[in-house]
Amino acid sequence: MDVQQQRDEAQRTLRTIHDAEQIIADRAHWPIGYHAVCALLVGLMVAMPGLPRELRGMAPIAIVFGALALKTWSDKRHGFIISGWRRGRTLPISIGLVGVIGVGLVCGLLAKLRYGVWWPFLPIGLTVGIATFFISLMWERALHADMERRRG
Amino acid sequence: MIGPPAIDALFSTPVRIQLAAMLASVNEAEFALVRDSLGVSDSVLSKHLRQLEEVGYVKRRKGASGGHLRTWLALTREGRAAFREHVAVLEQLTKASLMPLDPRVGGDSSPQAETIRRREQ
Repeated sequence: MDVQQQRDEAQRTLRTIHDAEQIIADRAHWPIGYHAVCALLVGLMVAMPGLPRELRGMAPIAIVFGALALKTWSDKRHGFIISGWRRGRTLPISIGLVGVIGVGLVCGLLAKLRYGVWWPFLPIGLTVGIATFFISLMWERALHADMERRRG
Repeated sequence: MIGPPAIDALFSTPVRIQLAAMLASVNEAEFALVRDSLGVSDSVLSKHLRQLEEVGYVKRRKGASGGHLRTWLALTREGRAAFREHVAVLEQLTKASLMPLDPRVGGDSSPQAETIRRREQ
Protein backbone atom coordinates (compact mmCIF):
# COMPACT_ATOMS: atom_id res chain seq x y z
CA MET A 1 0.00 0.00 0.00
CA ASP A 2 1.55 3.33 -0.98
CA VAL A 3 1.62 6.50 1.10
CA GLN A 4 -1.43 8.04 -0.52
CA GLN A 5 -3.49 4.88 -0.04
CA GLN A 6 -2.41 4.65 3.61
CA ARG A 7 -3.41 8.25 4.16
CA ASP A 8 -6.80 7.80 2.50
CA GLU A 9 -7.46 4.63 4.49
CA ALA A 10 -6.54 6.36 7.77
CA GLN A 11 -8.79 9.32 6.92
CA ARG A 12 -11.67 6.99 6.07
CA THR A 13 -11.25 5.15 9.38
CA LEU A 14 -11.13 8.41 11.33
CA ARG A 15 -14.35 9.52 9.63
CA THR A 16 -15.98 6.22 10.64
CA ILE A 17 -14.86 6.81 14.25
CA HIS A 18 -16.24 10.36 14.25
CA ASP A 19 -19.57 9.15 12.85
CA ALA A 20 -19.87 6.61 15.69
CA GLU A 21 -19.02 9.30 18.27
CA GLN A 22 -21.64 11.56 16.69
CA ILE A 23 -24.34 8.93 17.41
CA ILE A 24 -23.61 9.25 21.13
CA ALA A 25 -23.32 13.06 20.98
CA ASP A 26 -26.73 13.32 19.25
CA ARG A 27 -28.38 11.29 22.01
CA ALA A 28 -26.61 12.97 24.94
CA HIS A 29 -29.30 15.53 25.70
CA TRP A 30 -31.24 15.83 28.93
CA PRO A 31 -34.48 17.84 29.14
CA ILE A 32 -34.71 20.84 31.44
CA GLY A 33 -37.02 18.84 33.74
CA TYR A 34 -34.22 16.35 34.36
CA HIS A 35 -31.89 19.11 35.56
CA ALA A 36 -34.72 20.54 37.70
CA VAL A 37 -35.36 17.18 39.41
CA CYS A 38 -31.61 16.77 40.04
CA ALA A 39 -31.58 20.23 41.62
CA LEU A 40 -34.65 19.41 43.72
CA LEU A 41 -33.09 16.21 45.08
CA VAL A 42 -29.76 17.87 45.92
CA GLY A 43 -31.51 20.89 47.47
CA LEU A 44 -33.72 18.57 49.53
CA MET A 45 -30.68 16.65 50.73
CA VAL A 46 -29.04 19.83 52.04
CA ALA A 47 -32.29 21.23 53.46
CA MET A 48 -33.18 17.94 55.23
CA PRO A 49 -31.96 18.84 58.75
CA GLY A 50 -34.06 22.03 58.63
CA LEU A 51 -37.32 20.24 57.75
CA PRO A 52 -40.07 19.70 60.35
CA ARG A 53 -39.57 16.47 62.30
CA GLU A 54 -42.46 14.61 60.59
CA LEU A 55 -40.98 15.34 57.11
CA ARG A 56 -37.39 14.71 58.11
CA GLY A 57 -37.86 10.93 58.20
CA MET A 58 -39.47 10.81 54.76
CA ALA A 59 -36.91 12.99 53.00
CA PRO A 60 -34.10 10.36 52.70
CA ILE A 61 -36.59 7.82 51.28
CA ALA A 62 -37.84 10.42 48.77
CA ILE A 63 -34.25 11.26 47.77
CA VAL A 64 -33.23 7.61 47.26
CA PHE A 65 -36.38 6.77 45.27
CA GLY A 66 -36.10 10.00 43.28
CA ALA A 67 -32.46 9.35 42.41
CA LEU A 68 -33.21 5.75 41.38
CA ALA A 69 -36.17 6.83 39.25
CA LEU A 70 -34.05 9.51 37.57
CA LYS A 71 -31.25 7.05 36.83
CA THR A 72 -33.65 4.40 35.49
CA TRP A 73 -35.36 6.94 33.26
CA SER A 74 -32.06 8.27 31.93
CA ASP A 75 -30.60 4.79 31.28
CA LYS A 76 -33.77 3.73 29.48
CA ARG A 77 -34.01 6.87 27.37
CA HIS A 78 -30.36 7.13 26.39
CA GLY A 79 -29.15 3.55 26.42
CA PHE A 80 -25.81 4.61 27.85
CA ILE A 81 -24.27 5.75 31.10
CA ILE A 82 -21.84 8.62 31.39
CA SER A 83 -20.19 8.98 34.79
CA GLY A 84 -19.87 12.37 36.43
CA TRP A 85 -16.30 11.42 37.28
CA ARG A 86 -15.09 10.83 33.72
CA ARG A 87 -11.92 12.63 32.66
CA GLY A 88 -12.32 15.91 30.81
CA ARG A 89 -14.05 19.25 31.28
CA THR A 90 -16.91 17.68 33.22
CA LEU A 91 -14.68 16.51 36.09
CA PRO A 92 -13.96 19.94 37.65
CA ILE A 93 -17.69 20.74 37.37
CA SER A 94 -18.60 17.54 39.25
CA ILE A 95 -16.00 18.35 41.91
CA GLY A 96 -17.41 21.89 42.08
CA LEU A 97 -20.91 20.55 42.73
CA VAL A 98 -19.65 18.37 45.59
CA GLY A 99 -17.87 21.47 46.93
CA VAL A 100 -21.07 23.55 46.80
CA ILE A 101 -22.98 20.82 48.67
CA GLY A 102 -20.19 20.57 51.25
CA VAL A 103 -20.04 24.33 51.81
CA GLY A 104 -23.84 24.43 52.18
CA LEU A 105 -23.83 21.69 54.81
CA VAL A 106 -20.92 23.25 56.72
CA CYS A 107 -22.67 26.66 56.74
CA GLY A 108 -25.84 25.02 58.10
CA LEU A 109 -23.87 23.24 60.82
CA LEU A 110 -22.04 26.43 61.80
CA ALA A 111 -25.40 28.22 62.12
CA LYS A 112 -26.66 25.37 64.33
CA LEU A 113 -23.54 25.45 66.53
CA ARG A 114 -23.57 29.23 66.87
CA TYR A 115 -27.27 29.99 67.18
CA GLY A 116 -28.74 26.57 68.04
CA VAL A 117 -31.26 26.63 65.18
CA TRP A 118 -31.84 24.22 62.31
CA TRP A 119 -33.94 26.40 60.02
CA PRO A 120 -30.94 27.97 58.13
CA PHE A 121 -30.61 24.61 56.35
CA LEU A 122 -33.82 25.50 54.44
CA PRO A 123 -32.60 28.67 52.67
CA ILE A 124 -29.18 27.07 52.23
CA GLY A 125 -30.86 24.02 50.64
CA LEU A 126 -32.79 26.30 48.31
CA THR A 127 -29.61 28.14 47.31
CA VAL A 128 -27.71 24.88 46.74
CA GLY A 129 -30.68 23.55 44.72
CA ILE A 130 -30.65 26.59 42.43
CA ALA A 131 -26.86 26.35 42.08
CA THR A 132 -27.19 22.63 41.25
CA PHE A 133 -29.65 23.41 38.45
CA PHE A 134 -27.17 25.71 36.71
CA ILE A 135 -24.19 23.44 37.45
CA SER A 136 -26.11 20.53 35.92
CA LEU A 137 -26.80 22.56 32.76
CA MET A 138 -23.16 23.59 32.67
CA TRP A 139 -22.12 19.93 33.01
CA GLU A 140 -24.13 18.98 29.94
CA ARG A 141 -22.58 21.81 27.94
CA ALA A 142 -19.09 20.78 29.03
CA LEU A 143 -19.83 17.19 27.97
CA HIS A 144 -20.79 18.37 24.48
CA ALA A 145 -17.70 20.58 24.30
CA ASP A 146 -15.59 17.52 25.20
CA MET A 147 -17.27 15.40 22.54
CA GLU A 148 -16.89 18.17 19.96
CA ARG A 149 -13.19 18.53 20.76
CA ARG A 150 -12.66 14.79 20.38
CA ARG A 151 -14.21 14.91 16.93
CA GLY A 152 -11.86 17.76 16.02
CA MET B 1 15.28 -0.07 18.39
CA ILE B 2 11.87 1.54 18.53
CA GLY B 3 9.85 0.88 15.39
CA PRO B 4 6.94 2.91 14.05
CA PRO B 5 3.67 2.57 16.04
CA ALA B 6 1.55 -0.27 14.71
CA ILE B 7 -2.13 -0.33 13.81
CA ASP B 8 -4.08 -2.57 16.21
CA ALA B 9 -5.40 -5.41 14.05
CA LEU B 10 -8.36 -5.89 16.39
CA PHE B 11 -9.73 -2.54 15.30
CA SER B 12 -9.32 -3.33 11.63
CA THR B 13 -13.00 -3.99 10.85
CA PRO B 14 -15.54 -1.13 10.57
CA VAL B 15 -17.89 -2.76 13.12
CA ARG B 16 -15.19 -3.16 15.77
CA ILE B 17 -13.78 0.33 15.29
CA GLN B 18 -17.28 1.88 15.50
CA LEU B 19 -18.10 -0.25 18.51
CA ALA B 20 -14.92 0.90 20.26
CA ALA B 21 -15.57 4.54 19.31
CA MET B 22 -19.07 4.42 20.78
CA LEU B 23 -17.92 2.73 23.97
CA ALA B 24 -14.98 5.13 24.34
CA SER B 25 -17.44 8.07 24.47
CA VAL B 26 -19.40 6.64 27.41
CA ASN B 27 -18.88 4.56 30.54
CA GLU B 28 -21.36 1.89 29.52
CA ALA B 29 -23.69 1.44 26.56
CA GLU B 30 -26.61 -0.91 26.15
CA PHE B 31 -26.22 -3.82 23.74
CA ALA B 32 -29.44 -2.87 21.88
CA LEU B 33 -28.32 0.74 21.35
CA VAL B 34 -24.97 -0.35 19.92
CA ARG B 35 -26.59 -3.03 17.73
CA ASP B 36 -29.21 -0.63 16.30
CA SER B 37 -26.73 2.22 15.83
CA LEU B 38 -24.30 0.02 13.94
CA GLY B 39 -27.09 -1.64 11.96
CA VAL B 40 -25.92 -5.20 12.64
CA SER B 41 -27.64 -8.31 13.97
CA ASP B 42 -27.33 -9.69 17.50
CA SER B 43 -25.09 -12.51 16.31
CA VAL B 44 -22.74 -10.26 14.33
CA LEU B 45 -22.33 -7.87 17.26
CA SER B 46 -21.84 -10.78 19.67
CA LYS B 47 -19.14 -12.26 17.43
CA HIS B 48 -17.18 -8.98 17.40
CA LEU B 49 -17.72 -8.50 21.11
CA ARG B 50 -16.37 -11.97 21.85
CA GLN B 51 -13.20 -11.16 19.94
CA LEU B 52 -12.70 -7.97 21.89
CA GLU B 53 -13.56 -9.70 25.17
CA GLU B 54 -10.98 -12.43 24.54
CA VAL B 55 -8.17 -9.87 24.54
CA GLY B 56 -9.67 -8.04 27.51
CA TYR B 57 -10.73 -4.88 25.64
CA VAL B 58 -14.47 -5.14 26.40
CA LYS B 59 -16.56 -6.37 29.33
CA ARG B 60 -20.27 -7.17 29.56
CA ARG B 61 -22.60 -6.71 32.51
CA LYS B 62 -26.18 -7.88 32.91
CA GLY B 63 -28.40 -5.49 34.78
CA ALA B 64 -32.11 -5.05 35.37
CA SER B 65 -33.48 -1.67 34.39
CA GLY B 66 -37.15 -0.71 34.17
CA GLY B 67 -38.20 -4.32 34.74
CA HIS B 68 -36.10 -5.65 31.85
CA LEU B 69 -32.80 -7.47 31.88
CA ARG B 70 -30.33 -5.47 29.82
CA THR B 71 -26.79 -6.13 28.72
CA TRP B 72 -24.37 -3.28 29.24
CA LEU B 73 -21.07 -3.06 27.40
CA ALA B 74 -17.97 -1.17 28.43
CA LEU B 75 -14.39 -0.75 27.30
CA THR B 76 -11.87 -1.92 29.87
CA ARG B 77 -8.91 0.26 30.84
CA GLU B 78 -6.75 -1.74 28.39
CA GLY B 79 -9.39 -1.34 25.69
CA ARG B 80 -9.52 2.43 26.17
CA ALA B 81 -5.73 2.69 26.05
CA ALA B 82 -5.55 0.53 22.93
CA PHE B 83 -8.28 2.54 21.20
CA ARG B 84 -6.61 5.87 22.09
CA GLU B 85 -3.32 4.58 20.73
CA HIS B 86 -5.01 3.32 17.56
CA VAL B 87 -6.61 6.74 16.94
CA ALA B 88 -3.27 8.45 17.59
CA VAL B 89 -1.59 6.21 14.99
CA LEU B 90 -4.33 6.99 12.45
CA GLU B 91 -3.96 10.73 13.08
CA GLN B 92 -0.22 10.42 12.76
CA LEU B 93 -0.64 8.58 9.45
CA THR B 94 -2.88 11.26 7.99
CA LYS B 95 -0.41 13.98 9.00
CA ALA B 96 2.91 12.25 8.41
CA SER B 97 1.98 10.96 5.00
CA LEU B 98 1.39 14.51 3.77
CA MET B 99 5.16 14.52 3.16
CA PRO B 100 6.61 11.99 0.72
CA LEU B 101 8.58 9.35 2.61
CA ASP B 102 10.87 8.48 -0.29
CA PRO B 103 13.50 11.22 -0.66
CA ARG B 104 13.84 10.46 -4.37
CA VAL B 105 10.26 11.60 -4.90
CA GLY B 106 11.24 15.13 -3.90
CA GLY B 107 9.95 17.39 -1.19
CA ASP B 108 12.38 16.10 1.46
CA SER B 109 15.00 18.82 1.93
CA SER B 110 17.18 16.98 4.47
CA PRO B 111 20.96 16.75 3.68
CA GLN B 112 20.64 12.95 3.32
CA ALA B 113 17.90 13.36 0.71
CA GLU B 114 19.95 15.96 -1.13
CA THR B 115 22.94 13.57 -1.25
CA ILE B 116 20.78 10.76 -2.66
CA ARG B 117 19.29 13.08 -5.31
CA ARG B 118 22.74 14.38 -6.37
CA ARG B 119 24.15 10.84 -6.54
CA GLU B 120 21.30 9.69 -8.77
CA GLN B 121 21.71 12.65 -11.14
